[in-house]
Amino acid sequence: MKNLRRFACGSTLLFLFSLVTACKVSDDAVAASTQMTATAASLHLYYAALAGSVTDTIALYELDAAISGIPFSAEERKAPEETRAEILKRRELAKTLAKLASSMATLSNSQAPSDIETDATSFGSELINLNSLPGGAIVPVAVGKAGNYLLQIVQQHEEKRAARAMDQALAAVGDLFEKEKPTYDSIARTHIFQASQVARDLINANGVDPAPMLEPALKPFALTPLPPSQQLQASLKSLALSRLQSTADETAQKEVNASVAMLAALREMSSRVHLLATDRSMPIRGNPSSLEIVKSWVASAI
Amino acid sequence: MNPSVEALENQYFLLRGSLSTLMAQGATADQLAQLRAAIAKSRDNYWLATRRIMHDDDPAVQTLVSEMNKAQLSLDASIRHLGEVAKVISAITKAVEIGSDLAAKAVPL
Repeated sequence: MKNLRRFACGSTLLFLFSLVTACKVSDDAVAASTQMTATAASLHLYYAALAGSVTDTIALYELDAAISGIPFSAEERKAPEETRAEILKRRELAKTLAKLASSMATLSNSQAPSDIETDATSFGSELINLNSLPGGAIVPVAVGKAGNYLLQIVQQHEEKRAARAMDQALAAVGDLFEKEKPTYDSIARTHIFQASQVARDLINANGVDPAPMLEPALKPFALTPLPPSQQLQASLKSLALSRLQSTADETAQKEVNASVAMLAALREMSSRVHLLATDRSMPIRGNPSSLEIVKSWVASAI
Repeated sequence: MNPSVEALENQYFLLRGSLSTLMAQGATADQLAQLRAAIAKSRDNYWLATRRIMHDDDPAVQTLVSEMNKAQLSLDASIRHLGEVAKVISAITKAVEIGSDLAAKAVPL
């Protein structure tokens, strides 16, 4: 009886031990997975907003052709469209990175779901298929290697090695973003500049209703303006024109702040995962705080 | 910022912004047509550069960027203190040609 109890006790302990060693993903890894997923999701939103910015810029060139007669042929349309296509590739890459990051929480020494492998495969091939924007010439090779490495490790279902692979992949995505960031800022600046040019032409041609500008004075009293007289329209025209430049500058600066914040989040996440990858604890909980700045810009850009 | 992309961006911004100034200055229909074509070309050069590899360490690229920046300063001054429209448009056309030479230095992917 005593022997039987000892055997039962030992078996239970052995079973519990096997559960811990075989299936447990550390709390740090689960936290890192959540934070990486949020960071990659923000990166996805950032690229989506930037691609939207190019779409709007193309629409503005069409308006410019109609209003100011600046030609915009089908041939000239190709260049911004190709740049947009490259940004969309990065958006998809970020989406896959988010899926891969979330799958890290389910990694175990037993068997990872086959869709993780599918995600890792697409991540690797998406990284390899990126074409550089200016400044990113050498990045795709390094990034592609990171993707392939990640694929191998995820296939082996090992948390620490997966963290190392993720560490490498995040660093590569961060490097890509850093090298291309000036071009992203330029693209966003070009968008708001183009909008301000078309708006300026419309204001100068008296093609804009300035009545909404009166809202701060009338709204508190629930008043609605009548169509403005010519005299009022002329007075408001110079105010509207002077506001264009300052608003354009502010808008361009918001995007610069967002791209700085996005890069900071990628680097922050990279250093957190690096702790995990080098057998140290990763005590930080919560997403990188700079992601809020990215979300705020995305919300205002759409 | 890549100096070459920045120079092309600045050129497009300056030229696009100059259209209303030159119109107000009484540029002829022909001159305005030339200006519009130059603006479109400058815009095209910029977008080509955003998705190609610009070797900013190449001495030929550096020379062109330096020429563009110089032309930019001179253009900015002549548009601001408008003199003869024909001369300004001729200077714009030359500056855009430098931009095209620069964009042509970009390596296709």
